Amino acid sequence: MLDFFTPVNESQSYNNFSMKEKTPVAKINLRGNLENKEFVSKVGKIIGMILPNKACNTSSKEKITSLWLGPNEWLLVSNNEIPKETNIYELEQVLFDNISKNNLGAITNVTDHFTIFKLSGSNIFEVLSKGCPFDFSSDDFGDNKVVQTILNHVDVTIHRRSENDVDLYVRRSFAGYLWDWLKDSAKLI
Amino acid sequence: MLEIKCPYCGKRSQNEFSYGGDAKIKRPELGKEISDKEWDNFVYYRDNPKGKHSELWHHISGCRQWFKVSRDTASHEIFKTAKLDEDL
Ligand SMILES: [Zn+2]
Repeated sequence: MLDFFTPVNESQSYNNFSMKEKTPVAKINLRGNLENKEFVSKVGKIIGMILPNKACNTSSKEKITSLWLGPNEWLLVSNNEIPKETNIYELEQVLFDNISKNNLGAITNVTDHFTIFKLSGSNIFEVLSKGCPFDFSSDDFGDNKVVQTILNHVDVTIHRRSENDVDLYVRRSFAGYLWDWLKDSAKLI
Repeated sequence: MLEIKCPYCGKRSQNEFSYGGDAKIKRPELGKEISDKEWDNFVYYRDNPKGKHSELWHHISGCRQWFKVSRDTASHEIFKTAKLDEDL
């Protein structure tokens, strides 16, 4: 079950930039070898899509999106926030029974490990660029792309849903610090 | 800023990476008798060349993979990067 303690209790709006915490969203970390056909086909059957095999890519279905984190690592996230009452992870159990128990890979529920800041507005990348070495204008980073990088010394995962809609994943214990930094930076644009 | 080409992610800023030491150090074979001197060399002794050097780097804030880098220790020029099972 989710712990609904939230590190950030406000939403903020600036010049074409706004942010709020998006919670709770289910997040499952998946590890496995793409060369293992049994792993690939079992996961494919369970989540109903093919895992992205290239850096920065994602694949998506109605309920979940898989984000590429590494050549053998993915993050499965629920597209919608999960109501408190139905806060049970069927998917985690199914994956665990089929993948972990058969030694095909590893499933870890990281729902409470990360929190997500939902960023909106046309100035998102103006703000992020103030503390991030990644080139957001590169051809590799269009809509539905994901990148893991550093934002003001903090490890983050940035998922661009569209130009004006970005999910920023940050470890919960860094969330307050990063939130304050975002507020400072957003004031400057 | 130095850019390093991760074999998995492409060119990224140096501060996403961490240095992992000399790539040519080989651990003594398991089960083989070795002298203290050989063990000492494996654990502590490193070359410190000026010029081309084979190194291990870790894309720690990115895809979290280890890979090999051939770099000039004086000019910081990076000649090539490769996956661990590839040749530099
Ligand atoms: Zn990488």
